[in-house]
Amino acid sequence: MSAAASTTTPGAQAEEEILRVDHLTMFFPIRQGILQRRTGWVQAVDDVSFSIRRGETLGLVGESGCGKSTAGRAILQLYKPTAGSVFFEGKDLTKMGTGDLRRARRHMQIVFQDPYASLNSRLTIGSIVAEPLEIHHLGDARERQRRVNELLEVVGLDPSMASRFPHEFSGGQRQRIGIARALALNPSFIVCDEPISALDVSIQAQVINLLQELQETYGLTYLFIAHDLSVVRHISDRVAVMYLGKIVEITSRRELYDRPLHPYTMALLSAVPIPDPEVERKRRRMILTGDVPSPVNPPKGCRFNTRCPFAQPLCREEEPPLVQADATHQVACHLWDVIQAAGGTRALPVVSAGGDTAPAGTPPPA
Amino acid sequence: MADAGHLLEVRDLRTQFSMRDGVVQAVRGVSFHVDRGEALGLVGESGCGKSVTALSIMGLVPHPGRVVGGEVWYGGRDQLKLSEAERQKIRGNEIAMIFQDPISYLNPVMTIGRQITEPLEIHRGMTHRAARKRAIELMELVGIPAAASRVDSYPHQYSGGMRQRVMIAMALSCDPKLLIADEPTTALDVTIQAQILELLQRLRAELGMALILITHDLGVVAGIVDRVNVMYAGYIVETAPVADTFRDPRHPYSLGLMASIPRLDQARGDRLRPIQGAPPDLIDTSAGCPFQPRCPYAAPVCLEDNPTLELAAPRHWTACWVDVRNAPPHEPGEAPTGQPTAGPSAAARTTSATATGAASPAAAAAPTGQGGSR
Repeated sequence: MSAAASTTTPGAQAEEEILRVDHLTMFFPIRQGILQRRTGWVQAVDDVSFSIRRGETLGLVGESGCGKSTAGRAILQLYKPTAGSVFFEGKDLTKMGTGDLRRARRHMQIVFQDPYASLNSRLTIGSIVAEPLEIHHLGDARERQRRVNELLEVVGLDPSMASRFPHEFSGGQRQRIGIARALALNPSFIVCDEPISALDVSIQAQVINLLQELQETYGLTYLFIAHDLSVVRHISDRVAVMYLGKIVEITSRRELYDRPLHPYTMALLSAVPIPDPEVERKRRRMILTGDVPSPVNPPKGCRFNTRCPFAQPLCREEEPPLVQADATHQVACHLWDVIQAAGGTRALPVVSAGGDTAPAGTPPPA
Repeated sequence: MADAGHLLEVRDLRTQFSMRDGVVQAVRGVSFHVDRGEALGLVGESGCGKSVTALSIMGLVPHPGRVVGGEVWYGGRDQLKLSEAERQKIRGNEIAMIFQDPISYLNPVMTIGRQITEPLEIHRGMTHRAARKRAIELMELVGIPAAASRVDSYPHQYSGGMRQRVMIAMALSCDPKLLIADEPTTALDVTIQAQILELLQRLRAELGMALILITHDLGVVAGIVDRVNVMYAGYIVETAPVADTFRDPRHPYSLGLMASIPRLDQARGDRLRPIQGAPPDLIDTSAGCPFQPRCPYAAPVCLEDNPTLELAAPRHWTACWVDVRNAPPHEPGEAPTGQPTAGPSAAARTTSATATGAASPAAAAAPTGQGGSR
C-alpha cells in the first residue's frame, strides 16, 4: 500500500488527517508492599490531543520524563491507554480487537532510540528486517529475501551484509537497520522515538537525511519524538511541546521558533546552546529555576507554575486549557496574551548568575 | 610553547589500551596547554580520545590502558614521573575532575555531606565539624537549595542536575586550580544543562579556576571556552581561539562537523551535509591522515603521510595537507584525480579489522549508502 508518492511540501498539509489523538491519557500504577497495593499513579500522559496530517512531520519535544515517548507508544497501542482514543486512518485503535489491531499495525511502525538494545543480537540483520514480513505472512522465502535486499539498499546498507549480526555494525548502521525493519511493511506512519540521540554527531546528520529522503520517496508521516530542539526545528512541519504529561503548546515549526507563546517553550528555546560564539555572547538566556516536578504528584493548577517566571495566583489554582491562540497556534497558559502584550520572549526576566539557587516556587518577579 | 606561564602543559601524550584484538591507540601524540584561568574546549566524537586524554592527565587511565609516552607538566614537574602518592596530592586537590554520569561516581550508601567532607578531612586535615560547615558552604556555592537540611540526604534523593552540582561541589572542595569537566551536561535535560553551564561560568569567574571542558556538543563549547581543540582518532586536528574555530575552521573534519549540525537559530535548509562514513578503528595503524577515508578534500599525499599541526593563522593550528579555503571538495574515498582509492588504506583496513568486524562494514558501507543508493 505504498502511499502514492506524495511529496511533503507545505502544500501537502492541506491533506487529510492520518492520525488523531483525543484526550489520550496514560497512567501507570505504583504498587507497593507484599500485597502490591496501588499507592499512586505515574501520570505520564494526561489528556493529550492532537492530530497529524498525511505526509507531515509532527515534532514532539520535551525534557526527559515529560511523557513524550509514552505518548508515542500509547498511540501505537504498545501500552494500553488509560483513557482517550487514537484514530488512525479514521478507526479507533483503542477499541480494536487483537486481530484488527495487528492488521492496523502493518501501517504504523516505530524506530527506537537505542540502536543497540532494539535489535536482537542473535538474529542476522536479514532475519531482523524480514521478521515483520514473516509475522504478517507476506510473500514466500524468496520474495522476502528480495524485499530484505531492497530495504537494506534503500537505507544505504549493502545487501551482502544481510547475513551479519548486529554487533558487527556501528551505531549509525544499526539505526539504518532499525529503519529498514520499520519500512518492511510499507507503513504510512512511523513514530521516530529519539532516533538519533544515541548517535555520534557526524552520524546524526546521515540518519536525519535518510529519514527525510524516505519521507519524500514513500510519502511517510512521522511523529518525531526528540529532546533536541535544533533537530526538531530542522525536520518538523509542526511541533508540539510537552511538559509533565501535558501538551503546553502546538503550532507550526516557524511560529514556534519565531513566536513562542508558552513560557516553557521560551525557556526551552533559550536554553539550547547555539554553536556560534558571537551569537552565544549576545544572547539573553532565561534559566529556569529548579527541576521538573515528579509526574507522580504534579503541581496543582498549571503544571509549570513552580518554575514559571510569570506565574500568578490563578496559575497555582486552575489548570489552563489548551486554547486556540490563532488559527494554527494552540497554547495552554492563562497568561499567554498578557505575556505577548508585554513583549513575549523579550519580557523574560534577565538571568542573574546563580539565579537558580532559589527554591522552586519562589514568587514571580513583577 | 614551553614557557612557564602555562598552568598545564601536555607534550606528545600517548595512551594505549592492550585488548585481545590488538592495541587500541586512544591518544596518539597529543600536545596542548592550558593557562591560568583559561577555559579550553576539547571537542570530538566518542572514541576520539578526549576523555582518555583527561584521564591520562589525572593518572586515572583504567586497566588495560597505559600512558606509553609523553609528558604532563604541572607545577614545574612532569606528573607522569611522579609516584602515585605524589600524584594523589595533586589529584582532587589542585586538579579536579567531574564526569558525565554523576550517579556512578557517588557512593549510594553515604550521605552527600559525608562525600564532600571526606576529601576535606583527607587533603586538608580539617576536623569533622569544620569540614561539615565547609560542605554546606560549598553546596550553597553550587546552588543546592536548602543546603543545610539536604547535607544529610543520600544521592538517590537528588535529581540528576543536583547530583552534578554535588560532583562540582566535591571537585571544588579543595580549591582546585584546574577543573576538568568531562561531558558534564550530556546526561542532563536542556534546561538543567543551561543551569550547570551557567554555574561553571560563574565559578570560573569567582574562583579564577582554569577549565578543560570536554564535550561533543559544539553549542556547549561556543558559549563557554576561550580556545578549542578539535580531536579526531586520537589526534588534535585543529586548535584555535573559539571565535576562529567557528568562523574560520581550517580542518575538513571541523568544517564537516559545523555543516552537519542543525542550528536552532537558523531556518530549515533542504538537507544537512553529513560527514560521510564512520569514525575509524583505533587499532588500525595505517599510514596517512586518519580522516582521509571520510575527507572530501583528501589529496594523494593524505594516503601516505599523517599531517602534523601547523600554524594556519595567528594562534590557529591545523593538521591538514590541504588548504580547505582553496581546494574544491570531492566525494570522499576518491582521489581528486578521480581514481577510487581501493589502494593501501582500504586494504589495511579490512585486514586489521577482521577481529573487530565493526569497523570494516563501517568504513565500507556508509559511503556507498550516501553515494550510490539513489
